[in-house]
Amino acid sequence: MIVQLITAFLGSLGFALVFNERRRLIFAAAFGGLLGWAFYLLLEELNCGTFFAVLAATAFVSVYSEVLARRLRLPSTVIFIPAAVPLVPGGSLYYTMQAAVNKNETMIKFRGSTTLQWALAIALGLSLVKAFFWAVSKAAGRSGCSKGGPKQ
Amino acid sequence: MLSDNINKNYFLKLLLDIGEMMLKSGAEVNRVEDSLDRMGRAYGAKGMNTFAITSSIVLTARFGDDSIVTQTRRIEGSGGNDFIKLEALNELSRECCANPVPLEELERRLEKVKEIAPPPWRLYVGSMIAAGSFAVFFGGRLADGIAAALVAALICFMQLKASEYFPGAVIFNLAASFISGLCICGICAFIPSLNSDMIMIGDIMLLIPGIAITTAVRDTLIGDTLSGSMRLMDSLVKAGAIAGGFMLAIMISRGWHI
Repeated sequence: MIVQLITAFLGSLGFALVFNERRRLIFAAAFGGLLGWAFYLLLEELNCGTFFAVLAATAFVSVYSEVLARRLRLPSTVIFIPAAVPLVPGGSLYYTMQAAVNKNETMIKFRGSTTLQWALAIALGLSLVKAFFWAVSKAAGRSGCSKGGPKQ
Repeated sequence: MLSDNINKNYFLKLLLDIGEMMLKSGAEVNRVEDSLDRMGRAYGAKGMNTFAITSSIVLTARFGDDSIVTQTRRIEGSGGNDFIKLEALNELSRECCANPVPLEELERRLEKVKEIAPPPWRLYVGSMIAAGSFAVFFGGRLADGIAAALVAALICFMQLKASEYFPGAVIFNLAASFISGLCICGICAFIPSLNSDMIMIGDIMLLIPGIAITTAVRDTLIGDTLSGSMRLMDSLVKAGAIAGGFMLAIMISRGWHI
């Protein structure tokens, strides 16, 4: 588990470098990756089910990046994208492909639907948080150029 | 400031430059529309009508004297990520909204932003760290991580030097996955104690458009259905190509070893 947390941190850090993150933000993004995965592991430990765990972990990472982004006046994607990378179902996609290589129809369906559900959970988690923050800034009446506007 | 048609057209061209760069550095479609609308208003447009999808921007501005100017721009190669550039563009559009600088000044500052590009060492080091970490993350050992990092350097090299020789991102992903798959199978044939599954997963993480799928669903949910579907199709086909490339490599290497 500790190995996973360290590698989630490093994985996000690697992606932050690839995406040309500003030096000051690399650590913040990598730490977001670690926190997101820790949250996912915690929920799995509590038997919340993978779909919900992925959804909640993504939502968590998303809140983390929205809050940081608002504070530092950045587009939130800058933190979110590298930090969400450990949650991307790369392993799941690989096992789907492996099932296809082995011509194992049941496994293809099983692994394939897991991959899709996983991707859907990430998207839902992100969208919920985005919608929430959008509504909050709308309600707070933040509009106009100098203040950043509702869609930041 | 924008009194004659030449100036208005020049201004719209600069706006499209900003939009294009934003799309190419990882901005969401609605952010692009939003920023361009606001900048247009800041420079005196009475009405702004912006429509952006991942491959095109259509921009119409109505000015105070009821003149209407439209420009369109075809965007090729959107979907990359360059966060320093994205931040710079964000900053620039925010500043110009608050305090519209003359167009020449705006162009000069845009030129500066255009020059931002990640140094190659960042791509290499980042890819190697990421692939190596994810090989271990998904259950590999340190040796698997090192092997994944080496192949990641190869993938990075292909992305930087060879991608222009392929007719599109899908074919490139297919070829890059196939070549990396062959390399991994080759390495594992020489060093049987390595776990080829984990090495491949590490390198797949570099290639798969996982975040693009997320963006696609999000675009769709907030109403940008067209961009959402384009991104979704794009990422599904790319994921298929990547899986196909690795699959071919595994099949060929198995054929040789049976």
